[in-house]
This record gives sequence, structure tokens and C-alpha cells, in this order.
Amino acid sequence: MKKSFWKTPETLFSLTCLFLGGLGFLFLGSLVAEPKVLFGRSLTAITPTLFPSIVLTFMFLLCAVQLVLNFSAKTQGDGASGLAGWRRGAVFFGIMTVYALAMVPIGFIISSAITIAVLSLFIGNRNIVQIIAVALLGPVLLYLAATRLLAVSLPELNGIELAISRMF
Amino acid sequence: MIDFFIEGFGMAMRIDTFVVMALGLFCGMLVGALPGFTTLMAMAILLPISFFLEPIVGIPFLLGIYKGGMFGGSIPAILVSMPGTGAAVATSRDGYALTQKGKSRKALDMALFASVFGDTASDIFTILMIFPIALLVMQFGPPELFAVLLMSLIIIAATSGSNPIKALIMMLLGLWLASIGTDPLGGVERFTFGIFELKSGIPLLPMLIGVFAIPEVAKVVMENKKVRQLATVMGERLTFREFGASFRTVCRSTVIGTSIGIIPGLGQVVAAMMGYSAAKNASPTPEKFGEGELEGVAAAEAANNAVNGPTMVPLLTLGIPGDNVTAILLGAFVAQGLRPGPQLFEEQGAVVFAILIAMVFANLMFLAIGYLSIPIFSRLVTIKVSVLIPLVIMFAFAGTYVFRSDSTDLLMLVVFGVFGILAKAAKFDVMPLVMGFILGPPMEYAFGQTVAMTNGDMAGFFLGERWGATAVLMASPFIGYLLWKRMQRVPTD
Amino acid sequence: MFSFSRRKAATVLAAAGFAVAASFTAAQAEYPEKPITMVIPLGAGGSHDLNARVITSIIPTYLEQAMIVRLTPGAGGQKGTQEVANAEADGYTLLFTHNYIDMLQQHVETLPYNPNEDFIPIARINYAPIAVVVRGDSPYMTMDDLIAASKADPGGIQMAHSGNWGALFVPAAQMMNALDMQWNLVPYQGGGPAMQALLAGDADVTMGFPSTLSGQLDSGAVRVLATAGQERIYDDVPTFGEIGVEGDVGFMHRVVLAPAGTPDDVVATLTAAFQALAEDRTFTRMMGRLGETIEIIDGPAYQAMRIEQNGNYEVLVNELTSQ
Repeated sequence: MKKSFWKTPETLFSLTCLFLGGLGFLFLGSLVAEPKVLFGRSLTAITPTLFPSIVLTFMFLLCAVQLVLNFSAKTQGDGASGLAGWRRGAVFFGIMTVYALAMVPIGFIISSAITIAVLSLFIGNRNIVQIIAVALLGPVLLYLAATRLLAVSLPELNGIELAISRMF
Repeated sequence: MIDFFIEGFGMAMRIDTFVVMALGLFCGMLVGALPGFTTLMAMAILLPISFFLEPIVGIPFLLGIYKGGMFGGSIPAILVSMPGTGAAVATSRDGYALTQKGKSRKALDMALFASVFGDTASDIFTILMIFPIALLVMQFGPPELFAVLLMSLIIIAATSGSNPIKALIMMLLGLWLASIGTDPLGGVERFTFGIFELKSGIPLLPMLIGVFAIPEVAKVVMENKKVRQLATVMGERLTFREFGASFRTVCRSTVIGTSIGIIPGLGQVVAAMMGYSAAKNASPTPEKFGEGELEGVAAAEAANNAVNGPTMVPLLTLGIPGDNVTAILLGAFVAQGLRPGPQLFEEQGAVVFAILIAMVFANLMFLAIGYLSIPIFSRLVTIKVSVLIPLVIMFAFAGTYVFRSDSTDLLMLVVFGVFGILAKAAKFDVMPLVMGFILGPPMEYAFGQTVAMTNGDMAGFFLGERWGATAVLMASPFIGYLLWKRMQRVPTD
Repeated sequence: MFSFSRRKAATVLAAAGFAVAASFTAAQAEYPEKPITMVIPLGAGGSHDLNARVITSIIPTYLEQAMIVRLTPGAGGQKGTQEVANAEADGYTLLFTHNYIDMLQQHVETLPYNPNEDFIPIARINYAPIAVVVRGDSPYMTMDDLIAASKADPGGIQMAHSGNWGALFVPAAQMMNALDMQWNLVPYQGGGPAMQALLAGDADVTMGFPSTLSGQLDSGAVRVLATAGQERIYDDVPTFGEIGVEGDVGFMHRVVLAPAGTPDDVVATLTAAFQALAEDRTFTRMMGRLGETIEIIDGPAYQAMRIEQNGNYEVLVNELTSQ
């Protein structure tokens, strides 16, 4: 019973929030800056630490309560989708992290095209023509729509940006 | 005043007004369907174009974009659980569940009908009662706003389902996340750990997409069942009977939304959640909410659209815009030579009424435009997953970047995605988190203003001048408790 | 045969390569050849945003490229400002800001950039003087009434402002300092909500710019007690100088900045475009409708003002926060 209690996602989550609340409250002074003073009176009517201290205190207390309830309740034992599922999830998030980091350095169109291609393969698409078509058309169309129609900017390499503004 | 109304009615009946409005509605819907490419931006971009049109054409054009955009935001919320704004969050819950059951078209239809009904009713109400509403608006200041926001949070936590403690924990977490950055009153840094990127706080859109859309997408990827599509069919359209069953909810939500619209500073998010919570509370089967209950979609959509009518009142009667959208409308009005404010109705009454009447017709036109467009959208979820999901991810990332033109937001998107998946596994509901995050800062700000206003004499202030706010504050815990008990009575999971 | 076609292919490739390279270099000589981004460090829908929309819809005629607005609110304006400070000084990223963010903020915050060295002004678009307003039915008929009441009841008069160190806050603080009186400063999310608070009765006094005041003034809902500037704007209303508040008080200047190090020819092109804007009839008409004036002065002229502002604000902040 004890072992399964400690390992369920629910408990871990509650524990994390508990620590967050506790630590945050303890270190509140160094995490929140001091407000300035005008004519000897504080510039703000309430201190910046007021709300956070209330929030963190309650969070700590409630997490403690939740853990106690968990402990005394029947076993939760609901396995998440098994180890294979989590591995796939890790790969998925890995791809997305690379995408997030790469978009600005290598530009929207290229990074999106690569991500789409990789994800399509990962999810199980085996139709190469389809993958290439979607990976190329999707980002380009979205880029054009965003920059020409909606006048917003997406990160793009200088060369490609110039080429596109020359073509369209 | 009546003659202005009649004159205005005549002025509004023009082909070009209707055509341009229809164009605006359609384009607004498309833009709104892309999370991150906000309708606000679209309106701001098209604002100068409206300068060159006549007022009775240009302003309804902008209004059309706005209304189309609002519904547009519900589309990704329902189809792929990707709400682009806080207001669409309540819709995404039941909406996406319905999509998974193969009823995406019904969900979109219901969202459309509920939205149009709520919007039209609230617009008509506003037109008829514009001056009494203006007086009412004046009664609400920071203390009232604080009280209502606090009550809303309590209601949200109480009606969230089986375990209010978990909901409260998530809400508190959301409140804390909202305090990262600079404090709303003094602008001093909080919890930024010296990282400049955090100085302006955590942006909303990456959080919304991260905690709502990414876990759903990740779930499909992780489970890797031989599921080829998100939903096998788009389903049939909504039947009259189904709408009729939710009609009471729609009416209730409309009233709630309109009331919330009168209180400056609350907005669509609060309205949607209050409408949703109220419907859940009133239903004989509250546990079904969140699993694909059409009534849930109806409740949220009717409420968040019903806010629109009264929002225009401070703009028209005082010339003071209540939010960013009305600020753009202010620019449009002023550029056309209309001067919103106390003089507006005397000097230009007919034109103003014409615009308002056009607004009502915009809703009705949108019924047709939306209804015809829905089959196209709802069919999208039948595209096979290995094509759809990469495209969805691309849209999510593009929208996140466009939101603030900041590449760190992309990382935040991924981080919140991970968080969302973990929360899902731990069976913590993320909706209270988002609500706490959105409503926290205005609540803290209103509280700070209130304390500043009391000038030291808190008791006298609250009991004497602002007894309304005090009454709401006193009542909130009781209301919360009653609602929680009501939830307990019905057997839940 | 084989070698012949290979040589031919090589020549064709080389020629093509040269052509592309030449076109790239030739094009890069002429600024601007792609759209320019104008960053606004404030939120959507504000008066700044509206001004920018008007500017960016007319100026493409003179620059022959679009100018796109990019709203980057956050950290009191620092986020957008930092972005432009770090951007390439090639003239494709500009900042549209105002003097309080530009020159004042550095004295109340530690900034991740140096406004004095990291930017050069391109053009000041306009400036607006602020006015002290009370409700139409308030007991204060003149500024002297208000001052007397404020001195008699320190901290009792509620003043609604638009945010700490903002365009309403700073003149109020300067006024309180110069006239030795105390108001209770209550923050609001901008000039609009501050005005609404005044009208609702939550505040006793606030400030506003002429473009936003006109409607309320004409209907008698508010009364102006004092205005900024050297000359009287309304005949029977005293200026700040007349009531005892001297110096550069209560002016907001809207200005376009570029990252320092922008090449001179780019600056010249931009300056010329903005000068042309001042003469443009449509621009004048639209700005007039927005209630904004047009007082475009070029970079060097405004730079002198910036330096002066810097000095003034430093003194001001020290004075205000050291008590």
C-alpha cells in the first residue's frame, strides 16, 4: 500500500505543489522586489508580497490535506498508458522542443517543414509523397497568409524573406 | 430618441453595409480560428481601411470581424481542444469531447446558435436600455469588481466536480503563476529569478494551447492505437429538438452574460465560466458536463457572446473604451467624425442607432454564414491523424510565436504541454488553473485599488460606501458551500 | 561531346550564380526593400496604437514599402524597447514610444539597455499637454480652490492616474512636490478608466489630454482647472506655470526611435519620409479626426530635447523618492 501510494502520479503532483508552496513562502522575501517609496509613502497600497503569500500558504495547506486524503483513501492504482506510451511521449516532446529552439535560428518555413515531416513519420504515415507535400505546402502557405494577409511577422531567414518578397 | 431610431433603421438598410459586414464576418471567423492571430490584431490592421469607408459601412465591417472572430475562436477549441482565448476554454471541454464522439458538427452548430442567440438578445437589450445601463455601469468600481471576481473563483472551484480541493490547488497554482513577472500595481519584479524573459510574466496563449491542446495531441501520439482519425465522422447537424432541450440554458446564460457585461472589467472569460457553472449546477446530470454535453457548449457560448452588447455602452455614452476591442472601435468612430461621449446621441443619434441595428443584423447574417461554413470545418477532424497532428502542431507554434513575437514563448508552450500531460495523468483538472491565472491579476489590481481608495479607513469604506461589494464578499463562501453540496448530492466518479 | 556539355553546363551555372549574386547585392543597395517593422511597447487599442495605425497606413506611399506594426507590450514598455535595442541597426526595426518610457524609466528601474546610447531619434510625431480636470459638479471651481482643499486635507483628495510613473502620475507628483500638497493617488489601467473613475465619483480629480477631454468638456461633465505649457489653451484656465509648477511638466511626446548605429543614408530616407508625412493631406485629416496634432520635428532637434528630459527626470525622480 505504501509503495503504490508514493508512486502514483497524483501523489507526486501534490508533493511537488507542496514543496513549491512551502519553498516559495519561505523565500518570499528574496523572490519579490521591494516597491519604491514616494514622499515617504509606499507607491502601492498593498505590498507585492501580500497575494503571493496568501496563495502559497493556502497551496501548502491544501496539498497537505490532499496528501492525507490520498493516503487514507482506497488505492488509486491507475496506471498511465504504460512505459511504451511514455517513451513515445518523450520523443514527441523532444521533437517539439527542437522545433521551439530551431524556429528562430533556421526560420519558420524550414523548421516547420522538418517538424511536420518527422512527426508524420513518427505517427505512422508511410505515404512519402503526402508527407513531402504537406511538409512543404503547409508552412509556405501559412507563412504567406500570415505575412501578406495578416501583416504579422514570423521568424524567417533573411535570404528566404527577400526571395519571397521578390516573388509575391 | 425614437425618431433617431427610426431614421437609423432606414440608414442601416443598405446593400453595401450588408455585403461588407458579411465579408467582415467571414474573414473574422477565419482569423479567429487561428489561435494567436487574434481578432484584435486583425481589427487593428484593418482599422485604417475603415477610415476610407463611410461610417455606416466601415464600423459595421469592424464589428463583423469582431463577431466572426469570436465564433472563430470556438472552432479550434471544439475541434482540437485548442482554445485561443480564455473565453473559449469552457467551450473546449465539452466541445472536444463531442468531437471525439463523432459529433463535431453538432457541437459547432450548437456553439453557433447559442452564440448568435446570446449576442442578438444582448444587443437588442442594449439598444433598448442604453441609458439605464450607462447609469448602472457607473455604480461599479474596483471594490465591486474585486468582490465579483473573488466570488467567481469560488464558484468555479465549488462546481468543478468531485474534488474541490484539487481544483483549489490548481487554482492557487494558477494564481501563483500569474504573479510571476511584475506586480500589477507597483511594477516591481516577482519570482522572476532575474530572468528578463519572465519580467513581463507568463503569456496566456502558450499556456492555453500548452495545457489544453498539447496533452490531447500527445495522448493520441502516445497511445498509438491504430486510430487513424481524431473522429471518424463529423456527424449530423444539430436538430431543433436538441437545441430546444438546451434553450433554457441558453436563456439563463444570456442573462448571466449580459449582467456580467454591465460590470466593467469582468469580460467574456468570467461570463463563459459562470454560464457553464450555472448550467452544470442546474442540470440533473452534472457529472456529464465535460464528457460531451451539448448543454455545456450552449451555456458557455451564449454567455460569452452576451457580454458584447453592454460592453459598448461605456464606449458610446462616455467615450471611454472598456477593453482593447472597444478601444479600436473608438478610433474608428473618432476617425469618422463621430465623437463617442455624452454628446454622441444628441449630435449623431441616427448614425449610432444605424450602427447598432446593423450589429443586430450582423448576428443574423452570421447564422447563415456560420452554418454554411461549419461542415467544412468539422470535416477537418476526419483527416488522418498523421497529417492532421503535424499541421495542428505547426499552427499551434505559429500562433504562439505571432502572439508576442517572442521565441521564448515557444519553449513555454512545450513546458506547459509537459505540465498538462502530467496533470492529466495525476487527474488534476487544468481548468481552474487557467481561470486562476486569468482572473488573478485583475483581482489583485482591484483589491489594491480598493485599499488605496479606503485611504486607511477600511471598515467605514466597506460598510458605508460600498455595501454592495461587502454583501457579495460575505455571500461568496455561502454560495460556494451550497454549490459544492449540490455537486455532492449527485453521485460522481 | 561529354566534356563540351559539361563545360556548357558549368558556364550556365556560373552565369546564373553571378546573376543571382548581382541581383542580391544590387537590391541591397536601395533601402527599403522589404517591409519595415514598427514596434510599439504598449498594448493594443491605446492612443499610441491608433496613432501608429494612421502613420503606417500613409507612410508606405513615401517609403514604397509597407510598415507593419508589432505590438510588444510588457514590463512597462521595457520588452518592446529592449527588442529594438537588440535589433539590427539596418533601419528595418523602429520603435514608436513616448518620453516617459524613453527617458524617465531609466531613473526608476534598472533597464537591460541604455536609452541614451542605444537609440537615436528619427522623428517626433506630436506632443500633447495634459490638463487637470474635476467633475462638472465638484465644489472646486478654480485650481486655487483645489490646492487650498488639498493642503487642508492632506491625502484626502483622491486622484486617479493611469499607472505608476505614467503620463498622469508624473505631472501629479511634480505638482504635489512644487505646491507642497498631498493627493491620494489611486492607480487605474490607463487614462480611460481613470476618467471613468472621475465621472463615477470614485475619484475627485484626474488628468487628461485634449483629444480625450473634448467630449466631456463640451457636455459639461468635467471642468478643466489647469493646463500644461507656456500658453493658455483655454482662455480662462491658468497654465501650470501660472499656478506655481515650473518647468517641463505634463507633456507627452510621441517619438520614433531607431537603434543606434543605423547608417546615415537610412536615417536620411526615414527622416525625409516623415517630413513628407507632415505635409500629407490625408494624414493631416486622419490625425485631426483622431484629435491628435501634428508637430513633426526631426531626429537631431528632438535629441536635444531628449538630453534635457533626461537631466530633468533624473532630478525629479531623486527629489520625489528621497523623501
